[in-house]
Amino acid sequence: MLKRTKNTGLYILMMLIAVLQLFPLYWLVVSAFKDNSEIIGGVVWALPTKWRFSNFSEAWVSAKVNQYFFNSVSVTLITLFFVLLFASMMAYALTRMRFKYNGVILFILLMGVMVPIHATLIPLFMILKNLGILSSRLSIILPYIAVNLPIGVYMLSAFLRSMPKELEEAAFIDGCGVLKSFFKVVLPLLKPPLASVAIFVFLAVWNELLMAATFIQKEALRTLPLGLMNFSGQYSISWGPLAAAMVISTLPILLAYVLFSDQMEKSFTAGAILK
Amino acid sequence: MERALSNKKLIALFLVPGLTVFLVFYFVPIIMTAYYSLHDWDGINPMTFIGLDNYTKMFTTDKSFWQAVWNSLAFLLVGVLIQLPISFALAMLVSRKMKGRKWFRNIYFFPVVMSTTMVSLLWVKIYDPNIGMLNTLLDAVHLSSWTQAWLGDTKTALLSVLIVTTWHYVGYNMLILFAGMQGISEQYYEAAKLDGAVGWKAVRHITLPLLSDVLRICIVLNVIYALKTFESVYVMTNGGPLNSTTMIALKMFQEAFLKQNFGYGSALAVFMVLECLIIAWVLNKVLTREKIEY
Repeated sequence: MLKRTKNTGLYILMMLIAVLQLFPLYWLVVSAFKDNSEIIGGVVWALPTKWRFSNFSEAWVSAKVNQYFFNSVSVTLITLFFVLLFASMMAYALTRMRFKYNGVILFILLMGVMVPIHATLIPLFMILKNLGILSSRLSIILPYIAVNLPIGVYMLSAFLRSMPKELEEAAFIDGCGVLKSFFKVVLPLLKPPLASVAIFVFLAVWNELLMAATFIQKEALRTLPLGLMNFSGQYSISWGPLAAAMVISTLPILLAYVLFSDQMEKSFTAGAILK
Repeated sequence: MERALSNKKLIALFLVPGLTVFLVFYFVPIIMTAYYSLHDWDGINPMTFIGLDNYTKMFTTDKSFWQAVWNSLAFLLVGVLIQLPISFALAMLVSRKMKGRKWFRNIYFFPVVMSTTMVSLLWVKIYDPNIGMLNTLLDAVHLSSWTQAWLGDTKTALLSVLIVTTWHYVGYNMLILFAGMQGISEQYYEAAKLDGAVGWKAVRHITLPLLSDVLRICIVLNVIYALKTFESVYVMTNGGPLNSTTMIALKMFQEAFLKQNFGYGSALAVFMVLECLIIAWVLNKVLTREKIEY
């Protein structure tokens, strides 16, 4: 009996904390359907009297969230593809191939895990300017690939090191070359750690603001975080459409979270241990 | 196979593309930052070498630099002394074998995956004196005297930003600690039970010591995050009012891209890097004790 009451108490405590974590988000979602008079005059936790889907269409079209959304999707996908490809190739070379500078390369990559990206910002700005790609999509894609490579290489190398070589050896005996055995045998086996890296990179790139704010000057190329920030400046008066835009930009993350929450937890813990 | 795997052309094919991008867009810039920091430069006209003058200015005449250092310290202390204990309690809660614990864990963790920009914009609205939910809530519970412009007042701005960071990241620490707790074998607790160590005693004598490695990682992570803080203050206050929420990263950004002081901005960036590396190294040294064996 005593144990039961204790458990109920714990449940109530956990519910309270859950409410504390979720209430701001609940407020965001209901605000996305309200107009200002309802937000200012109404009860904070009340549902909208009338569900204004117009906030969403206003955000999507007039506030150009559709454009920001497309920019974020394309930048994220391109970055993701190259990080996964380059990181798995580098990890393979560093763990399986034989050459002298193995240690040096791993050490240089370690800098990428340790040094904050803020320290690269000013020279990057000059490099991108000199290359003539400032304020193009490439101006953030290339740094995003560079920034996310080290952690990818480390996560994948750790996995490869613990992976037996027998399958690759069998592939060689069957007459596969290195390339063929890499793409046909190794890459499929790398799926679990690749999924972790993919989630890690997806969140990092989808949420990135500092580099986008520094290197993207064209309005048409703004990513979601950058677009939202400017949007909030212009729409400081009407909170409804801004809330709608924020809901839209979080949907892909929410979706990924619902689908892959276990994988996400894994990639976060793995990433944390590495840092 | 051995011969194929030491083929120079193949090795180059696997390494060069990624390594080139990494070197050009990450590694080389770090070195260039150090070089820039020794110059007076507006990014357009030729640089003038001025030795360590930027650093002298930083440490002696620039008052907002010290303000930024103190603010980092506030972030750091809140991260370690407030956020971490809360996270630890949450991790304890969600590692109890009870129904729905996975749900609670997912709910507590969810804010972590949202972007800092999003979270910051949301809280700007929550703190907003007119439409914000915080003041409206305070009015509703008859605490109208507490209402104020949370982010607009030098007295409350930093605290308000710190609350947001805590709300955003408690789930992160919770998750890492939870993962650590899962790794502690049930046997220890059962053995302790026989010796009469339950509840707080079990936490103190089993959970905490066996979790010391994970706790160290959490402390280092929190400290590094605190020192790197940029987005939240950039979006919520832009360092204001009166520099009360300014941070080194934000100052570096403003010096370089608003005031065109590329040299001085680079010196601030170098300071940030050294600060992170030194503190992480010191923490690792201080917090590493001899492994506990049972």
